[in-house]
Amino acid sequence: MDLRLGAATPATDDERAAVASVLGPPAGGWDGGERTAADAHVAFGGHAARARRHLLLPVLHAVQERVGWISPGALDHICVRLTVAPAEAYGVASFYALFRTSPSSSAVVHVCDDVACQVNGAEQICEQMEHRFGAEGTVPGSNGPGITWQRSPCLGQCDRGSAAMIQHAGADPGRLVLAPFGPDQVRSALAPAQPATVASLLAPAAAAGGARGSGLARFLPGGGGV
Amino acid sequence: MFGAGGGTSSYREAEDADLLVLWGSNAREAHPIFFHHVLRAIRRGARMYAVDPRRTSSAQWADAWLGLEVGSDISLANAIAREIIEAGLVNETFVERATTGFDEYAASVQPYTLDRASRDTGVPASLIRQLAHDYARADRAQICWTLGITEHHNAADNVFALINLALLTGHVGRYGSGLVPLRGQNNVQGGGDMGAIPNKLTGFQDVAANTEARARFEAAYGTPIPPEPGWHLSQMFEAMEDGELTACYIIGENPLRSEADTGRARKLLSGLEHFVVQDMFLTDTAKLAHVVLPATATWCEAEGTVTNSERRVQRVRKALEPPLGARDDIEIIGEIARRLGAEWGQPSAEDLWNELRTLSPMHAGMSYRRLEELGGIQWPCYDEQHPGELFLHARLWEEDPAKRGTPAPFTPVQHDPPVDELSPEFPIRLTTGRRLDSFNTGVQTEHYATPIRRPETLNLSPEDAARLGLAEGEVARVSSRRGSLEVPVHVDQTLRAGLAFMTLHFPDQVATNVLTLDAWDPKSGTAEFKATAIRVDKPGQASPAGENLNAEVEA
Repeated sequence: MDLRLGAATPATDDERAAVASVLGPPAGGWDGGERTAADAHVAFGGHAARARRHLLLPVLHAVQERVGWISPGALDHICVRLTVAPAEAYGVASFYALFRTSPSSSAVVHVCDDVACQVNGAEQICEQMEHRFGAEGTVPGSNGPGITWQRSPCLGQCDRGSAAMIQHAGADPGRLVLAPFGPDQVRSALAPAQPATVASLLAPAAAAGGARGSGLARFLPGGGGV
Repeated sequence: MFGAGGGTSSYREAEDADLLVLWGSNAREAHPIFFHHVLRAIRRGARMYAVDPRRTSSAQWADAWLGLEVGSDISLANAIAREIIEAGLVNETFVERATTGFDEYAASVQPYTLDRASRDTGVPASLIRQLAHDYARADRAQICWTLGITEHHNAADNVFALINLALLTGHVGRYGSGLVPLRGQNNVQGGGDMGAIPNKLTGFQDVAANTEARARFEAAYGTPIPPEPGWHLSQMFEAMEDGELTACYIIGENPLRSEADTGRARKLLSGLEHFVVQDMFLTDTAKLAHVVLPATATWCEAEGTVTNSERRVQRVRKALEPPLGARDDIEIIGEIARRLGAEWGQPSAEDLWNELRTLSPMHAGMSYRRLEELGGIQWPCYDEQHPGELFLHARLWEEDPAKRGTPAPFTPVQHDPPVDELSPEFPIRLTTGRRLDSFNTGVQTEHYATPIRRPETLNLSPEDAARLGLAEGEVARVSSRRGSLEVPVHVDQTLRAGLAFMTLHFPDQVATNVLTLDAWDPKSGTAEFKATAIRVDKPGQASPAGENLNAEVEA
């Protein structure tokens, strides 16, 4: 496999650890690890290496959850370990809305603007989000509130829209679904996320949702489907 | 091999092989068309081994890479043979029926234990064993090689070592199995087929042994043909040195840049009494000539044929009128003959081809019309009913000894390390090769832009670069026992400590062959481009060899 690696900076220890959590530690220098004396005269790859290509999505999830985005260095490292061409891996990473290929804060608020949520006011909610937290996809640090939010395709909460999901990255990653969702929920939801606080989050959601029945928040463990 | 100077197999057979061993070949970059067939084989499930000092871009496709020390190929091949014999994996029927010299060969590989080969090559014994077993057990296996095998002082022995493995396992003469030397140019095979080999007449007919063929040529041309072989390139340079060769007529070759030890080549070519170069470019060699004859580009400005690595003769058609002053090679040679008193008329390319067909039996059935209709024909093609041969040496599998013909001999060979020895003064092994974007001395590629081409570099392992304190792009002074030059460093992960790499693509920037050694193989005449002992210093640092190393030839 020809790998044209282009990252200016290599993968960080965190990113490598995230990849290793799925693939196990690298077998040596040719597998993305430290070069050792044993690498001087022997390498394995070929069919055995390419047979692991199906692990691309799990590995991307692992890095996204640990670091919050797929950096070029992380992408290169993943490509070396799986013998997947960087262009191909980047295509996958940039296709799915839950993978980010630019830096972000450790939590990203995904606000659904798909058909069912549009019916339930998704556009107004996005306007409010922009008013409060700045433009969609704003790089953290450049906006005062330090919150990254973005529009999202369907989150699978159509019966409870308009919906949002907060994606937490870090040592203890997770996803918090808020439906129905209102911008007021963001601050409290981003307070140290603990399952125990889920119940308290419901109150403002219910208020925002008015008489539309009780809102529901679900805390999903990391590694769920895209 | 076995009397036929060509690869045994067709490209399409590679696609149907179960195991491909790329030995001393970076086909991904140097033979990209062949490598497309390799990729199709891989996609169909074939396994691939790469045997190469560098973990090249070809090796990165391999199931296993054996990163042997430069020049340890015979030790590796003999150990594979010993393991195949010890494990009872010899194809005994084939060996008994179709070969000679097995016992002597088996005795000759006895000293090459896996451990010994592991010491010579650096490759773990377990991996050598694995290759031996996989090669012997495969239904269809090919060994494909290039200059990594042949640019050594013992080139022919290296090739024999690989042929021996195919004989041992019966991986020759059958569809999908074979021995595949990849040719580096579109018509290297054709050049050899046409008799541009000192000991062969056209059609690989031996000039000394084949008296019948010699008589045929003598009758056709009405002149005696000396039975003694001529000189090959390395011998010609030695003859220039001895003053025996004083006039030289070079067609389409740039030896000033492609020969090892550029300093010596320049001195000898400059010292010729009469020197004529015929080329489509004013090459650096041509600049030394007394007479330059501008030729047409044979791939688009002239009619003719080329022959590729699978022995397929193909028509070349004239598509463009040559620029003013450039003349067809046939015309130029004919005019020279006329000045020398021989009137050859004005034959067309097809006329000459038909003349060839009367003299070279293996081309006899290849009329221009058939070449066109069949999309090229693979020799041998003895008459106009013969479709050509997909693969060679099928006769070795015949039940009937009469049809089987002369058996193929095992040729025992011994490990013989490179001539240019590593020493504390010259501790790094430099090997040379090609890159995808450029061709040989660059004459044919330097005028074409490509985004992936970068200037010449000395590729160093990360370990050596760190030890020498050389960063990416920093200029280093490289010295061998023959010369010295400066070149930017490229830190290359595919190299191990002690191994460096350069190309000869950019002679105007870096005259790589100032460094190389012209020790050549007496059997093939090839110089040992693949193994030079060098030292690398920061520029300005005093080299222990002192002044005599500053013989910078390209002043």
